[in-house]
Amino acid sequence: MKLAILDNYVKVSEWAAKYIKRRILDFNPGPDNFFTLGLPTGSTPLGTYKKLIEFHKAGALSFKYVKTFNMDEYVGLPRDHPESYHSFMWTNFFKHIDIQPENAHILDGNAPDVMKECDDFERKIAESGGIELFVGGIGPDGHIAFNEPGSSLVSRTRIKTLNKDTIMANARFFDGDMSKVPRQALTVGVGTVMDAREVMILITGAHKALALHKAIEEGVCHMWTVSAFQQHPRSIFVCDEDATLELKVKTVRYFKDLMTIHNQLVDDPVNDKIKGVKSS
Amino acid sequence: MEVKHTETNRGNKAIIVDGYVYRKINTLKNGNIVYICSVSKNCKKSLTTDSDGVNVVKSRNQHSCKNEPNERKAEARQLRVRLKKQTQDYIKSPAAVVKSELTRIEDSNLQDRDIRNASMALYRHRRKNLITVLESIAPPQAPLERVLTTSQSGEVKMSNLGRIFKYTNCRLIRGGDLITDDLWVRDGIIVNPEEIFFQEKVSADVVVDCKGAIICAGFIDVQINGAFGEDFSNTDNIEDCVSKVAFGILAHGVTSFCPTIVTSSGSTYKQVVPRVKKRNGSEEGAGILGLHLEGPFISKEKRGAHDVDLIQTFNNGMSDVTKIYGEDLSNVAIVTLAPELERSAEVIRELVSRGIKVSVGHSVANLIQGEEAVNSGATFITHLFNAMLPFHHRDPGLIGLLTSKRVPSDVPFYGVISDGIHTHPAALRIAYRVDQRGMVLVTDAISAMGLPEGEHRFGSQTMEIKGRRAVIKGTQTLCGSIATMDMCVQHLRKSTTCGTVKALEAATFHPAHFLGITDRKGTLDFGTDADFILLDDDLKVLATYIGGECVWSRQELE
Repeated sequence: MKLAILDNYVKVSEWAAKYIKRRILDFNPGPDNFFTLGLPTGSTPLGTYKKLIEFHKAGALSFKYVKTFNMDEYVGLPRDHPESYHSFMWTNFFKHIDIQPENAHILDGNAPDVMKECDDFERKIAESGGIELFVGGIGPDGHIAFNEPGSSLVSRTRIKTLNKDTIMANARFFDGDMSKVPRQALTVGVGTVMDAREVMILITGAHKALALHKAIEEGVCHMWTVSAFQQHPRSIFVCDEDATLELKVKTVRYFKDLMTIHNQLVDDPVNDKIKGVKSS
Repeated sequence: MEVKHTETNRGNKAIIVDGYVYRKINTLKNGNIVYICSVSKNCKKSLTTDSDGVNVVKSRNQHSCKNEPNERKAEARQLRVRLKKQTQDYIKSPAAVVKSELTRIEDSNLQDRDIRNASMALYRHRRKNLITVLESIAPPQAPLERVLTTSQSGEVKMSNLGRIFKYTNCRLIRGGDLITDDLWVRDGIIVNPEEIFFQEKVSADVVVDCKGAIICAGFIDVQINGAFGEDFSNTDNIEDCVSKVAFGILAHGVTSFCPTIVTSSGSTYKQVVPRVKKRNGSEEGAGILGLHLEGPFISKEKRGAHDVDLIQTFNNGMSDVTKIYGEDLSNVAIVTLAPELERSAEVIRELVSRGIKVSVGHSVANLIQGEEAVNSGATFITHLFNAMLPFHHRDPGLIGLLTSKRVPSDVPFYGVISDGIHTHPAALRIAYRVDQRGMVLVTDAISAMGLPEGEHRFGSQTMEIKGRRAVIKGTQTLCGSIATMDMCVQHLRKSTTCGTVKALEAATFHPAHFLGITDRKGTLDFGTDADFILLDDDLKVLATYIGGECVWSRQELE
């Protein structure tokens, strides 16, 4: 596991965006060789999306040969509802970039046959050659996507009923009214994300500190589903100072010392200078 | 050897001899045609035929390709070619064409899959050629030649059917704010790009860079008496008159308007009203939303420039109205009348029930009479402040309708001539601060609008245009307004603190709201007609679009 500790939310977003950009450029996607990216929703990745759009507008990054797979979507919410994850992804990301519409995959929460929809999603991931880089966030209860505590660590894409904590956390998007939040969601499973060749988890804010501690300093436990990534061969956790509040000083110092090496993963001094992108 | 003529898959000439397909590569000086084996580039077997293609005169080399001559394939190819030749006949459906071809073939080696493939090729070919064929049937009209007959108004140009246009690098009026966003248009309608992205999964076909311009809905002018020397109330050929004005105001950003007829005789109305039909705009001119009949049921004291002898009353109710206007009022959008006239409440109710908007104006009504009119269904005040009793603190008159508690809060709307001459800027600000929601910009333009400086004769009168004023020659008496709609919008923004968005809404959303057509015009909402204009930061019109087509552009002049 790599743990990249940055000063604040803005720096985390920048670092994560640069990492994604570097990975896509190094992969050098083409018409017969697409880069598959897994994408999250929520407030944490917003800054990362903004930065990626900046890179695109500066001409440094193209999404023409990138396929994306989103993690989750509410069940029963109309696709054009302002809080649906389709609307979120369109307004905050797809609208501003040059991704081809048929390559942006999001689970359909209004599909008549939910199980078929989940199986089709898994099949589409497999057909595109598996996910190269899966970006995700973490819930305050340590869940990845909507894999609530108690979800199997080898689960696949399926429908999940949301627990009260998650509904409370999401109520702020529905005018604070818990009754308006959908009760069920389609989500990729922990196993689905583990199948990705690389996983990057973004964690910012003090309210996620306990979840981060349980995820990387305690054992693998289905009550904190993000801990499953301790068993992934290539995982990166990107967090800000506030999120490290529950970590051991030893852990934090160890990984902070490694930051010079981690920064080499994102910096591309030659191209950045040409395209005018600031280095971290 | 039997030579059968056919075509290659790409459409080049080919022949089939003994089951081998040879494609044409060359025509010799003596007219002979050379064909070579089309299996592969390495096989050098070639045949030369005479210019008619009947006899083989020469044969060179041997086949080095390992192809077995296949009768079935040759026949399939011939069928495909025959079907393709029949794509010109668009009357017959593809299925019928295929069937008729098959009846001609008796014993053949064709399998079902060959027939299927050939008919699929026919469909593909037809689809590809459909657009070019439609263009040849209906040739696009030359833009400068305005043919004043039934135009293709409202219909999308054939060549742009189904294409998605994305206008980017611009600012839009959306939800009452000026935001940086893209405008997507298809088939003359503003469409929702999110739906196109997720549902249809296609991208835009054409991307237009607006270079930072402001995009807003096209202006709607609900009161205009004429322009460019034409006067709607005083013309022999009303159709040409309306079309000329409709074309000229495109340059002012107006995409829809209501030609206004002032107080006239019954015979004028019966001549004019049936001939001006509601229609969509096009490159020939702005769209017509319906006539605005200003008079003759108005007050004699507040007639302004209207002819006193032609002013009428409707003491017999609606029958007096139809006696003057005619029975068929389907071309009428707005009627201005004075509510103090007897039986006005009944007439207003009847007009409203026929789908016509009623406006109060040219009147000496007090506030009570005005309120009664609004409660009977009137929803507009014609040019506020002008041709009505002035505001008095104990009897506000019609102006008091803006703050009256005895009428619903969302009515009435009121027109203002915001040219800086007919309404003092201070009065404009008072109206704006009191009731911003109801303000509708109108030009109330007369025939001199759009004409250059200097003297112009109109019938027995000579008018002089000095700057932004039109006066009777030798006097200071105003003849009427010659401000253009874009000038009115610019003046409103300058005189009040309303800001760009509200100034533009007063000329777009508010008139559409008043006429009840916000589902089609007046906004940039998804599903509305793509009638919009590009403006620079000074609110000068850069380009006008109707139904997604550019009908006027400033660049043409430069």
